[in-house]
Amino acid sequence: MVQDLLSAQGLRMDGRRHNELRQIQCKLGVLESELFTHKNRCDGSAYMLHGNTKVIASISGPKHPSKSSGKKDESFIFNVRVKFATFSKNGERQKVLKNSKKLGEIEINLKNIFKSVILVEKYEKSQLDLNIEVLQHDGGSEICTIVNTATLALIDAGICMKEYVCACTASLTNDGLALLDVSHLEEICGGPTLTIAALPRIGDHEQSVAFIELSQKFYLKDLNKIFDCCQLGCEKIRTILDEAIRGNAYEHVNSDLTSN
Amino acid sequence: MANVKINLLINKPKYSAHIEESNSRIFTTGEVITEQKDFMRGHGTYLEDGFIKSSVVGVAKQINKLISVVPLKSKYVGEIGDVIVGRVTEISKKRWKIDTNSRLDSVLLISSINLPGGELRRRNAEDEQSMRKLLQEEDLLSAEVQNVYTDGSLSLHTRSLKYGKLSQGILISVSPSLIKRRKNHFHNLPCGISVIIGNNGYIWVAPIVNVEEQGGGFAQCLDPVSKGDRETIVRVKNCIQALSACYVMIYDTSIMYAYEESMKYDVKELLNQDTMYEVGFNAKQRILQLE
Amino acid sequence: MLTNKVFLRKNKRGNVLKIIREHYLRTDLWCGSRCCVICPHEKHDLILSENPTSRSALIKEPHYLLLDTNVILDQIDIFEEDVLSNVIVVQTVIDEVKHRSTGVYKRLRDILSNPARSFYTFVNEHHRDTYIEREPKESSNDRNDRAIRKAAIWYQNHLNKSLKETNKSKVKVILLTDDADNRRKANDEGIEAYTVENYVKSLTEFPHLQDKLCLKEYANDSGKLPVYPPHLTVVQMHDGIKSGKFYQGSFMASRENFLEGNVNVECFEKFVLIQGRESLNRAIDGDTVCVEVLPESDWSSPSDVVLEDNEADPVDENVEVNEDEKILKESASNKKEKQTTGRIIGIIKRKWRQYCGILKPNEVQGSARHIFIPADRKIPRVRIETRQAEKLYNQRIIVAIDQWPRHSRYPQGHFVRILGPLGDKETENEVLLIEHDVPHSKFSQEVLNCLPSLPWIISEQDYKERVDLRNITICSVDPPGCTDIDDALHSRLLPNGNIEVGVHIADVSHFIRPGTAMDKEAALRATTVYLVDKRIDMVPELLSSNLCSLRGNVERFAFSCVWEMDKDANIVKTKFHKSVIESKAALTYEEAQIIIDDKNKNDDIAKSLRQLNQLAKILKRRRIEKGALVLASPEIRFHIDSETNDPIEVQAKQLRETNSMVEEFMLLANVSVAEKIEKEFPEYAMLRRHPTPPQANFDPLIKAVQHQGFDIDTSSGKALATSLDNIEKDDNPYFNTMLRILATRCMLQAVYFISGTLTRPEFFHYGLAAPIYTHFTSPIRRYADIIVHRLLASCIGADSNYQDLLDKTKNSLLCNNLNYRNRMAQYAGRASVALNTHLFFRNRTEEVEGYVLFVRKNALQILIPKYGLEGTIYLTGKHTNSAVNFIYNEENQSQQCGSVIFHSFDPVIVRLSLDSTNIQHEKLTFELLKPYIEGFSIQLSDKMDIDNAPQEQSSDATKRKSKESQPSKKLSKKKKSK
Repeated sequence: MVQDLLSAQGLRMDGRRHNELRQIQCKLGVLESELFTHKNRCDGSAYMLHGNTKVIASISGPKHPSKSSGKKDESFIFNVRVKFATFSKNGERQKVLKNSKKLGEIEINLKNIFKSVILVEKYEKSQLDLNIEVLQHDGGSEICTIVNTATLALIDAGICMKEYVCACTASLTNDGLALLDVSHLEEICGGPTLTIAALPRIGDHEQSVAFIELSQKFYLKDLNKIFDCCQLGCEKIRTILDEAIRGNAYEHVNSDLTSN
Repeated sequence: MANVKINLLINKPKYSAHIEESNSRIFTTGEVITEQKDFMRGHGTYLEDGFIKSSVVGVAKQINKLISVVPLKSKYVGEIGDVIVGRVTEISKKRWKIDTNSRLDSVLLISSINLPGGELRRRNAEDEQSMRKLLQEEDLLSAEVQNVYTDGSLSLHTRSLKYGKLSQGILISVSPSLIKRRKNHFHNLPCGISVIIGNNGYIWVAPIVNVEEQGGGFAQCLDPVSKGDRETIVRVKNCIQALSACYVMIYDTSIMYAYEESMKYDVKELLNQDTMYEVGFNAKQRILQLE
Repeated sequence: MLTNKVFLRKNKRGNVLKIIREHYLRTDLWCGSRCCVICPHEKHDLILSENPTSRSALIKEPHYLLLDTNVILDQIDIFEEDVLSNVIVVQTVIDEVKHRSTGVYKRLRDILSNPARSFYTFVNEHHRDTYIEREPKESSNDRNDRAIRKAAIWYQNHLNKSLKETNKSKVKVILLTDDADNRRKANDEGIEAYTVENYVKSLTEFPHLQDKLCLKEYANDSGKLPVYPPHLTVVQMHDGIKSGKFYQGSFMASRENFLEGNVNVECFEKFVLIQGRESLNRAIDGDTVCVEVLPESDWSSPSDVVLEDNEADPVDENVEVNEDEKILKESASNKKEKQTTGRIIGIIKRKWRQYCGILKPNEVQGSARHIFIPADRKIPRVRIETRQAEKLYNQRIIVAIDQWPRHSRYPQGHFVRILGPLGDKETENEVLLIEHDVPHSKFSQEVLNCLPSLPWIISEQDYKERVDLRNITICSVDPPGCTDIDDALHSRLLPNGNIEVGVHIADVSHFIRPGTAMDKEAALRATTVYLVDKRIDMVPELLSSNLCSLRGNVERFAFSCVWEMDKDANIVKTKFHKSVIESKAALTYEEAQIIIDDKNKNDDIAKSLRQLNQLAKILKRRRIEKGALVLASPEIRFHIDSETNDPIEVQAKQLRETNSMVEEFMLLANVSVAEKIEKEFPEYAMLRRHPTPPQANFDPLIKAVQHQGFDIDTSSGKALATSLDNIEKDDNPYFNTMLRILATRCMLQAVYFISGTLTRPEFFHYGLAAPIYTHFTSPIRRYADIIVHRLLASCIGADSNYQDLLDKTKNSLLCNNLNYRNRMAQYAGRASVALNTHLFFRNRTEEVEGYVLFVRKNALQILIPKYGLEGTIYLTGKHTNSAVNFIYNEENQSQQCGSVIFHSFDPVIVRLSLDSTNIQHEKLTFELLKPYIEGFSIQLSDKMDIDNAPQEQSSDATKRKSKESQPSKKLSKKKKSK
């Protein structure tokens, strides 16, 4: 059944208004390093709940390149591994293809997104591993949550980056109103979905966009509207991430770090 | 059936109420540190549009015209003279590769160690072939940073009797930023065990061993350790973890405070999240009072 | 502002899934009442009035009404009345209504969106204080009822709080529900609750509302013997269907026989036949039903008798002996060919709508109970209650069916509204539009807002984007009086000796942008419907008759298809582009013909037309050689009196060369466009196909022709065309035309489809013998053409495409709608012709020549070529009073009476008159004049000379009749205009 994405009262199917994000909760440093062997220890981690999507990201490194990575020509080795838990969809146990095309695509996209923001020159000759585990996923644009979680994990690991990378989706109603942060249900109900990963800077109107993806076609004239909506979402997400990061940082600072 | 208690992250107590915001300002990634142009950019910063911006999340530090941001958590960045605890990952020609929790593995040249049998002994080819006899893969050792190469990797040496292979004890790894730089990183704690607090965040807890008896530092000492010592070692380990969990700087005094605070609990109770935070937090209070 | 709640839902799709969806609860949803001082309302949110004065005798205080779901589902007719206002509808109810009935939902939405009605939507499901979870073991219905009550309580408290602050008089919240249990619980919780019936009856000022009350509840008087077997429960049906014991299908009532119907079950090749009242078991045309197939010994065959429900006594329900049923049984049992027969044991989904019809006068004076006779013969009569019967007699009214209990012979319903007086042309037009489901309301403001503002000016930008063809001699050729001109033509000689031919189609897609309200409306209407005296536009008139219409001597946007052809009409080059044209002349077929024939005329237009005509002839010849069919259907034109709007003369449509000229180029353009878009969008092109009819369809044709001593080859389109050309009968000049009419009846409907849904060979257009075809040339009156325009524009880069344009499933659904609407438009057009024919024959009898088209068991079907009419002469049965016996020979399809034998195609003379005994279905009566059969045929009228051409005779009659009723001046003017 085709449902209206926006009711006459201006509410979406889950009760949000057109410019509201789903709930976002995030935490840094969720994995303890002891759980890992020294070769594969976790140097930073983060967890995020975005709507019904739950993602854990962990960073290992920068570290000495393992022999198996073998890519000597690359000065900075950045490995991304994305896994979907078998129970991630609908709570039903289902077979998850390990090296599916879709996963590969996400991995490559992530790699490119983050290579553009990490200050690579600081990590010559080293290796950085980003591991993503999607515990539960609610719909197709999980890359959005993955990017945001990965940003947190990288920051937790103290990796030098230019900016936060925030990703957000937006869709369009039939009346041409842009909808922020598309849920799974809305995605099924149709409407094009634009996903962008941006580097939203405070007080800077021109955001750089690291990644852009479009699920369906729509009129070009709507692009600006939907794009602006996405960027607005990225800014909102940035605020949320920033809050989490600062909250986490203050606990650290409480120790007299400066006395060193 | 074992009595299992699962610690949930969600139950982690919040101490943020005690934060004294006055002491430092946190800069987050991408934040402009200063708009003035006449500063030099140091670690953890980058230059864009003429502004110095932070590339990590941490506390800004200014030394003269040099501005740097110290990340809250990062890999160990070595400095000459630092005491480190490391683990051998690889043996290659004339050198051991040591994992020191830094970005790149460190190097221990065979020329930088005291070979068994005296300081003045000449190294020969035979020594190179029998390197594995001295240190094998996965062996732990303590050493000192001798030199920092341009790419950031470290060269180590063990030319002191206090450095060398570590035999029996527990390795704890904490964030390097939590280690307080002090004159001495080798401590025999009053509770009767010794700790080596590596600047790289690796901490070694072991029974006290007479250094003289060690003989060159590469012998494996496998004497039985008494049960009392073992318990103390584990308690110290748990205390260090408690300090780490509460982001308390780790050095001999803080460890001892935590140890004293922990005495009212069983060793195993210290694994309980609440107890752990309580111990860590109490130790922190005492340190603050000290100041 | 945002409170979250995650809730669980279980869903059955083979295995149980646990679906978790977020459900945000808010605190920023307001109550919408003007007397509230708590909520920070925006102005447009304030819907409920400050002082809702009570008109009810039941509740004295001012109050708001809060409705429950069933109330809306059952009593939507009442809420459509302006009387009730200040009503709160909660989200729970809207969702449920939407789920249960799309029709009611749409109507509800219309009410809610009308601010004058003061209906407020309260989003209780997302309000923090009114959202409730379903409790364990609570059914979802109970939960929803509880949610509604919770909202009522919230409103009551909220208003009380607000009113306390302002010291205003109290405003109550009244819950309307027909569910006794819900009412009781509401009362327990301190909410006043009433049934709709009580409430409406307490509105003493508005007694007419009571008629509209749905009768669902109180018809449960037992004691009557059930007329029908019970229906199975949903579970029983479901299990039965699953186990293969029962079948599911849609029920189609027979138009001719009210005791017969078919069920279209997917797994059977043929329809399942349902015969008899008990087997039909209260199914109404269109319902999705559950059938049980009878044992083969009980199988029957479709009767060929025509039966109408003429039951005289509506009060006495227990007429055990049913004559009709007997007849039916007899006629069915003595046939050999048996068909799968079944009986209906349950209704899976009702497809009730509102029905037009009339009220049958009740013999008992002053009784409130009446019988309603629907205009559609497939629909049974409906029992309604009304106190204003006197007013409703001789009016066309609309009635909705509420329920059909077992003990009631007829379904029970309630009166909805009056359309207008019976026999009035406007009313009858309205009836036939409603009955054919033609959306004919005025265009909404939303749609009109999409129109370009006037004066409409072509901008420089437009000239730049389009090819300028203003200096080319383009003209249009259309029927007289045509205002929606969507095509124009030109041709000119090229320097290289070839000819450039252009077809210019109105660029409607320039004005109708995808996704707009206008686009949606046009997609819904799908086609312009032409009635005899009225046109129901697909797009607003400003577009159809002005901005899009390629009128003479004005600049218009066009979508051009331009060919370069050689002298033998072979296409050398084809190009498509958007253009600006200025038609030099808007001609009628007749005018164009005169220009072509007038040797003295030699201007550009004449040259161009002659050239086109020449090419068209070649194209037509070539097309026919390929096997295109020339079929015939009797078409007539009415000449309408300008003052009374009554038809004063009937004439068969005249075809000229120019008709065929325009047609040829339109076909060519359509084929060219079809090829282009199919090449560019092999998956998404919207095309039109005409399926090859199965051979069995031709059986009646072959049989009929064989009796005349001819053979007809129907193996292919080409063979059929050749056969049709060759069969001629010297003594019957109309014979060939009749054959073509019969052949047309064997055909299937041509349909739109999306290229990706079928294989290439299935694209074939049988009638035109074209491998691929589409509709491109009439975007003003067909929606399919708009889609094709968009596809083509996208192909040539003239316009961007959009998401839905390339959505196969959505477009397939669109095609279904287009096909359905087209069919309905066609039927409506025919019905309109029939209506006008009846008006024409009012107070008039005529004796005309006709032919036997079919021989039926109890009747002859007669075709009157002059009027394109078809009718039935009943030979036996209760429709005739004669005692003459006809012998039906099934083998060679003939009826014999004494020495007279009727075969198909035999000429007869009949007298036509209008039988107005049934005021709802006026029908033409056909009475046999010649051949004369003693006791059956009627006497020849004295004046009538049969050998005279009946043509003259009838036109005399026309003249006479019109002279009597009209001033002669008017008539002569009419004559001239012809």
